[in-house]
Amino acid sequence: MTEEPRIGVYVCHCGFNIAGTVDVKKVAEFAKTLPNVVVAKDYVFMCSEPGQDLIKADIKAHNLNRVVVSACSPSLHEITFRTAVSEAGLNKYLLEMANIREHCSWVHHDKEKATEKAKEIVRMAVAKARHLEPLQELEVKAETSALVLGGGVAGMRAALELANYGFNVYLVEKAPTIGGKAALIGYVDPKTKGAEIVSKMFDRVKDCPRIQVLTNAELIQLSGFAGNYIAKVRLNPRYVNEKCTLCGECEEVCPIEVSNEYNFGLNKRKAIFLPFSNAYPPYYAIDYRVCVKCGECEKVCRFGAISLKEEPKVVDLKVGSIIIATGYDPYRPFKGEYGYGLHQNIMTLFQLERLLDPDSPTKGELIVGNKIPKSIAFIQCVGSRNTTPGAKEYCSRMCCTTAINSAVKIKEKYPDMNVYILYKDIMTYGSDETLYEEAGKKLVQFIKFEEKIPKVSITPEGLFIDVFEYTIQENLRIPVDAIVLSIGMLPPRDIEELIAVTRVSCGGEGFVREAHLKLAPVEAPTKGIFLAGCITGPKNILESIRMGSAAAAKAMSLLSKGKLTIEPMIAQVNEEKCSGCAICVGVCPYSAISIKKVNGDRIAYVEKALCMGCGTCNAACPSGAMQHLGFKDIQLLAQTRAVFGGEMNV
Amino acid sequence: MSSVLIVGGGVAGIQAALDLAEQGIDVYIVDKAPSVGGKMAYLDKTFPTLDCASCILAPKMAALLRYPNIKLIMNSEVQDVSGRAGNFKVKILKKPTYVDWSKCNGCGVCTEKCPTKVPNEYNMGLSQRRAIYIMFPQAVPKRAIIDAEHCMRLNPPPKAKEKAKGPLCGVCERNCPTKAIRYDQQPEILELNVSAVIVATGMELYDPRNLPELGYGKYQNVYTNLEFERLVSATGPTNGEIVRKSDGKHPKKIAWIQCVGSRDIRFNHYCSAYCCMAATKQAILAKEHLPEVQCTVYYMDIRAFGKGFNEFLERAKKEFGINYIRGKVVRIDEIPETKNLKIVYEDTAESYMKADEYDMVVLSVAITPNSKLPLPVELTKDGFIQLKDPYLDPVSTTVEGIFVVGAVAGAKDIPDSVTEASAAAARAALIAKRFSCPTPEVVK
Amino acid sequence: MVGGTEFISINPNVNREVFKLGGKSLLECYQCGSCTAVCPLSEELDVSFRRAIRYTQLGVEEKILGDISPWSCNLHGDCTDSCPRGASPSEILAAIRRYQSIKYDWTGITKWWNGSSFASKLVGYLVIFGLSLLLYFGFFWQSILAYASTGKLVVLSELLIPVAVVFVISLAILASNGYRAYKFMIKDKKKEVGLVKSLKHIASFFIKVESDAMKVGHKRERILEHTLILIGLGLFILLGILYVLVPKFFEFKVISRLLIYVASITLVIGVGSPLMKRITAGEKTHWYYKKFTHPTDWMSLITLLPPAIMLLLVFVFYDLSMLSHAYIAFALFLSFMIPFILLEFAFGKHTHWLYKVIAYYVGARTGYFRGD
Repeated sequence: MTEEPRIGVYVCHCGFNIAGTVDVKKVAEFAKTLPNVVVAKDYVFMCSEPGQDLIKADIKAHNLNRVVVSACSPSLHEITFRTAVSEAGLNKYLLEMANIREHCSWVHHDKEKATEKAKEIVRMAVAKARHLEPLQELEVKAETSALVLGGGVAGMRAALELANYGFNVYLVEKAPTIGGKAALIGYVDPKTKGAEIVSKMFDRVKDCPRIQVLTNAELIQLSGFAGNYIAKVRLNPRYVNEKCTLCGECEEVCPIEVSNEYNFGLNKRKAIFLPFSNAYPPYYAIDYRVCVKCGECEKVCRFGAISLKEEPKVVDLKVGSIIIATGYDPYRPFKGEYGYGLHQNIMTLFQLERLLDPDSPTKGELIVGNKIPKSIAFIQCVGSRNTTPGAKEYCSRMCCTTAINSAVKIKEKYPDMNVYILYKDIMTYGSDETLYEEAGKKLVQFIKFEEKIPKVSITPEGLFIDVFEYTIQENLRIPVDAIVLSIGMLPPRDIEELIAVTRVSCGGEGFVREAHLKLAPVEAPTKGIFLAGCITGPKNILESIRMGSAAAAKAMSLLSKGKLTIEPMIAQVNEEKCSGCAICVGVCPYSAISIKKVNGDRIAYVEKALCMGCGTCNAACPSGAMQHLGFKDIQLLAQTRAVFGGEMNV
Repeated sequence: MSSVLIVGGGVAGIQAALDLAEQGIDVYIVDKAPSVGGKMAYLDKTFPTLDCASCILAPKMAALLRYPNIKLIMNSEVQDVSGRAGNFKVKILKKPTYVDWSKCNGCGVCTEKCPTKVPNEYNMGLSQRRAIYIMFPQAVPKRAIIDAEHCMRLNPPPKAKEKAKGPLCGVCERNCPTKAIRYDQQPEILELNVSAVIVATGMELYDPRNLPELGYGKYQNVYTNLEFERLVSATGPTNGEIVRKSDGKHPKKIAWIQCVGSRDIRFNHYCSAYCCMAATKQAILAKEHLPEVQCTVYYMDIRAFGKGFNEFLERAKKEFGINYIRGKVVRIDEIPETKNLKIVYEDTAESYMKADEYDMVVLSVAITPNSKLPLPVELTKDGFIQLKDPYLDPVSTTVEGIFVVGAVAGAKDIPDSVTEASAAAARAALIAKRFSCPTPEVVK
Repeated sequence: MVGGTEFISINPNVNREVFKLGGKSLLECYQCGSCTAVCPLSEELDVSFRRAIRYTQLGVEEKILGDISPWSCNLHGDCTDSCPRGASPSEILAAIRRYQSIKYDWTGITKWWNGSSFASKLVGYLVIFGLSLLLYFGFFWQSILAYASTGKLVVLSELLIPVAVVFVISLAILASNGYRAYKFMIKDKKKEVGLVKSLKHIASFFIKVESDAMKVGHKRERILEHTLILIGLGLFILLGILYVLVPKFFEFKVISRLLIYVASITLVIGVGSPLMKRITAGEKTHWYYKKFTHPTDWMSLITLLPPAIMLLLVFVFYDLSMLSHAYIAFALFLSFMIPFILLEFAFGKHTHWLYKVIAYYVGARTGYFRGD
């Protein structure tokens, strides 16, 4: 630093907010005594036009090269004053705020002591200001196109929104069809079929040339930063192309049979299969994981739609933002959990939903064990709310509403069936409460349990549920013909890979953590990565869809200008001091640091666009090579010395 | 570039405004209050993280000021919306604040000098403010406003008026350092052209006086949950000290009564969605403020559906020892000598009527949507704004170009409102920017 | 669940039966307990109407049959006024009562009388009435004419035998059913309370509850109607006893006629008023008269009306010296009494007095009253 610091200190009254507790005149007088302070003034409102003009005039008159504003929190007015000093021709990072309002006047009553504290705060700010350096903002060009991971309702919604806005979208889906779980839910509300919603969305996706649907695809690597991501996507072979007419002959000849995950294991499918009747893209697919390549299908296909020679491909996609909407997995009850897997009439809610779907193996009839049951019981909170040792602590949010909705549907179709719902608390929040009301009118019976969970007994006489009914405090034995386990949601099985690739983080419950639970629910902490749907935790379909739109809005806000500004207050490596120990690489939460070879030396390299300025690397660096611009060691040490009354001239 | 009108400056409205402004779209926020912030500005802490509400809201509010393309039209009401998507004509009634806001800098001198004291709505009437006041310390914009009804100058008491020769009082005018007081300010009609409208008017609390058996308004120690929120808040009327209105003493036993006006076909069919967790949070706050206090929540179903909610509930039970009793309270009787309250309910685990004594009772009041608006949108039978097709056209009302977010479209909590706000911003931006779907350019 | 715990099995058909018996809103209840908490009886009695409703929803049969709460209910209706689900607990409780009386009755006639449609009830009633007519206007016709020629009304004769027989049979059935009800109810014993104390409890309970209820308009209306019916029926019984034991009484014209007129008129008003309200129910009518329109409610009122009118006519005609008319009216009166006793008194809604007495007695003796 060649130039001798010339500091101006401006103490704000903030009406009575500061002046009521702090003697601002005395603080200003005190500031004048500090080294390098050329001028110190107080004013009733520094943030007002005249207040800012005062600073600007002084910068010119006194040739100031540092400014300390002693007022409120920087989160409130730092930008105001930065603008003011830059208008006076000074680099805006040569401003330091001393917060004597939130940190002092608002939290104290004793005027004398508060004034002393305010002086100390100003003294610290001046000490730091003496070491301030001019910094420059960076601007990078940003790609607007987006990668949407997951082709469920949330992902499709986000893709549609972005495409309509004019962004190009890659919709990457692991399965051979988009649609996600919603496509498999019989009825999502009393009037709406899940399959209908997704097929209407398919129509829109189909009509939108800006959306490129990549099925059988996986994100395997992600590099770069907001606005400039490079996504490596592996396209697994489908072996069936667009010539497919859905005639189904291939399916008949295929020798491989596996459990059909699209019916949640209710029936079997072949290795070549159509996930569901309105799947998109509307072609058969060969499950590359189980296909033995016998070639039967290729032989039988009259349209030349099958080619078993297809190989996996890896493509690099340049995108500006990533929207993660990979959804959830249904809870997997262990064998014997409420008799699951021990009796054919014990099924999960998802299996029931498939049964009730007109597209199901039973054509929408509720047939279990070859007949229509006389009574059916739903057990709620399976896998949720700590009911069993393997259960999660959270509430899965959608299971009560879905179960009640199905119960109502069953009652409408089979009025004589006894339908029981065993619950802890009915979670029909908001307007869904009317569905609970409706269930009563349709004669669905509710049974409440608490800590003691129901027990399913499989006896030669049939199935029984033993439950301690909370509201009558009696042990009841309920004979039922079928049991539905209202299973909750789990984080998707491959969330570990997702974390490894995208570097998002997980909360304690295993779902992806958002930047702020309340105020940034669709943003990941990493800039440019957004979250939609159940990847952040259980949601219903409507909420997931809205989250899709919201995540798209965030991506639009970030990238609509086609460029991004990078804050200069980030980490910087002193290459002379850096030993290449890579400690910083491990601690960086944003993967912004890598080790590069410069003239044969291993040296840490900070990707400026990725660094969020958290300072972790700065603290971890053993050699002091890593410095945080705007919060350099020398600046912070000066501040610290000042507060302990140390010599200010270091 | 055309603009978007946001009706309601609560957390949802703020979020939508920020998302739109960031894209360079002009945004108007109209709110009937003198500050943005909405109901969240009244809260002490938020569930399930126990974040301080104003600490997370205030930066968002302040951020509004950083965008030159966001205009705040406070103390105003939308009077008429006509036209269609892409070109709405909006009439806004700007009610007089009697202060020139371009001059006022929120110093607060006037509010200290004003001689007239009236109950402070921000503290639910539990403390007093002056006739000229700033809504709350973190108000955005931080500007003074005169409550004309109580102002000595604008609405002098008839007797004083007869005696006085000239105009009365005028203390604020004399003390204002920026000469911003305008006693003669008149209502104004603003006309705006906007391409889309986002309705984010949120909710009001249901008036518990509609349930006279609970004695709200009659018994001093029966509070609404929002009143309790102010009471427990550091910026509240007692600086966070939980004391009874009747004798100023700390309560020893507090009861929360759930579903007051919710899940009840006599009042509102719907579940208000926020109250179970709000009561749990308040019980925890009460325990933090007064470790000896006994807290009991009377509920029918605990709605712990959101992220972290059930964990929060378990924590309340195990760590803080909050009691939960299943039973609907049907009546509250006051014991005249002690002003304690006897609440009558059936403990559904014990199966007979019980009457428990508490020294403070908090009613978890339902919400009702602020949906009586001069907008051509349709309402549901519960009074919420009807969504057109929430699956395919999220957050759209029955009128194209008018979107709805937050609690006015159905009871919901903060994260859901914020999510919807961003979703609406996306949809409104499409209209504002006039992009339409099939464009020739194809990705390869 | 812990091994060795006793499990109660449920009968899933109970809720359907109770639904058919008039408990239409049975499953709308979401178990908040408002009904119990708001009920004025809860101040005195440890009963849970909500639990009775839950037992019925789930079909916990043995618990339902032993539950005294439906019988303790006085149908004041506060529960229905304050039910957040808009269900009608008092109506459900009335339906549960019907279900209980069906189960208490070993003959199975209650099941038909409570469970059948209004039309089939009417047919059943008319068949019995027709048979009675045949009896009096066929078999007894000559003796009636003979009595008529004597110029005297007051005769103790074979004409009464059919009514007496029917009455005795009904009483026997009621007694046996009452005993069965008692056995069900006594199972759920909390503790034992002395007889004198129990009776005191019941007396003070009724005085308090009913006097409180009298303060409320719509309750007062119904209490008055009920009281009129009670007075009318009481006088009927008194007159019957006098007729058998001191026939001379009817020669004291003023006092006997006064009693007869009062009995008939109170009964006609007590029955006619709620009947009219049900028939003309409009917007302003209290919901009680709209909800309590189960066929048994109608029949309990309708069957009372003709005997009351006939008795009045007997003496009107007699005093007008229209002796043959008086005898025809007398024969009609008896013909109406037979189906009333046989159906309504033994198996219909009127049996509630018996079960109520038993329920209160059991309740008091087993510690259901507060303050023990």
